[in-house]
Amino acid sequence: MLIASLKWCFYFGPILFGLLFIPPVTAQTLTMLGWEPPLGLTPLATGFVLGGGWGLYAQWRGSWLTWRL
Amino acid sequence: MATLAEAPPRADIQTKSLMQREQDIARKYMGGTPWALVFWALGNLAIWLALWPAVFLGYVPLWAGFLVATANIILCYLPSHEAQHDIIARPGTKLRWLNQLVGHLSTIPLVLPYRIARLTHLEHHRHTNEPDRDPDYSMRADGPLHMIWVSLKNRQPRSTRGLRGYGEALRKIGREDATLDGALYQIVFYGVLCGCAWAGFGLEALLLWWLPRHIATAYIQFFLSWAPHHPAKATGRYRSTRAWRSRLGNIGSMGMQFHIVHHLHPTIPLTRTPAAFRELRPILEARGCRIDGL
Repeated sequence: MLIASLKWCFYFGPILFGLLFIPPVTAQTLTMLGWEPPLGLTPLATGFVLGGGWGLYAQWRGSWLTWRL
Repeated sequence: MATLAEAPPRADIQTKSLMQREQDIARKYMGGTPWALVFWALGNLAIWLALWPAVFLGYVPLWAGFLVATANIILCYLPSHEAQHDIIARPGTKLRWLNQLVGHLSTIPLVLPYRIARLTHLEHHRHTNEPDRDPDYSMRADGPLHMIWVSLKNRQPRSTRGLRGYGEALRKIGREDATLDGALYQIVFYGVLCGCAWAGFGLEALLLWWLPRHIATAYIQFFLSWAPHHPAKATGRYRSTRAWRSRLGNIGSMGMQFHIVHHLHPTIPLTRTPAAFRELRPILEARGCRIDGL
C-alpha cells in the first residue's frame, strides 16, 4: 500500500510539483514585484494556470524543458 | 634453458618496478584522519541550516542566502566522497562512526542518500567508462556547454540517465533496497519545498534549496563525472581518467585536476592528491596517462 502510494506520487511528480509548489511561489513573486496578473486573475490563480499548464506539459512529455528527451 | 625460461622479459621488470614505485609513493599519502574534511562537512551543513532562519527572519538578504546556499551545496559532496572510500575511518576502527556520520550528513542539502552515493560511486570506480556498467557513463558530452545541457536533460522526469539511472544501476548489483532511501529523501525535499511555499516562504525555499541544488548538481557532475573522464572512450587503470588543467584552478575544480590519482589510489585523501600527483608524475607519464596541460 505504502509502496503503491509512493509510486503513484512519483509517477505524478511533475503535475504535483506544478500544482503544489509553483502556484504559491508565483503568487509570492508577483506580489513582491507588484505586478498585476492579466484578465483579472489573482496572483495565486495565475500560479495555478502557469504551474498547472507547465506541470501538465512535463507530465505528458516527461521533460520540463524539451519536446523530446 | 631453465635459466632463460625463468628470466622475465625486460618490459615486465620495468612494469613491476613502476608498479612498486607507484605503490610506495601512494602509501606515503594514505592514512590518518583528514580532520579538515570532517570540519568541512559539519561546518558546511551547519552554515546551510543556519541560513534558513537567518533569511526567514531577515538577518540575511535572500540574494546573499542564495549565493551562500549554492556554495554550500556545491561543497557538500566532497566530504561524503571521502567517506564513501572509507578515508575518514576504515571499517572496524574506533572512528568508523565519524566516517558514516560525515557520509550520511554531508549530502543532505544535495538530496543524495549516502548508501546510493556510495554504491553507485564504487560501481563507477570498478567500471569506469564502460557503457553498460558505469553509472556515470551517461554524463559524457562533446564539450563543456553540451555537458551542462546533458546534465539538465538527464534530470528530467522521464529520463533514465544520470542520477535517474541510479535505480537501474542499484538493481543490477542487487541493491534495490537502497532506492528506498532515495524515495524518503525526495519526499522530505518536496515536502519541505511545498510546506514552505504554502507558509509564504516559497521564494526562500526556491533560492535556498531548489535552485542551488540544481546548480550544484551540474557543477559537481561537471568536475567529478565529466571533465576527468572526457571523452570517456578509454577504459583501463591508466587510461580511463586523466589529469587536466582547469580554468577555475584547483579550488574551483574542487581538486579534480588530479582525479587520476584518486582513481589509481582512492584512499588518498583529497587534500593530499596534488602532492601525490607531483611525486607520481614520472610514473604516470611512463604509463602513458593523459596529463592535459598540467
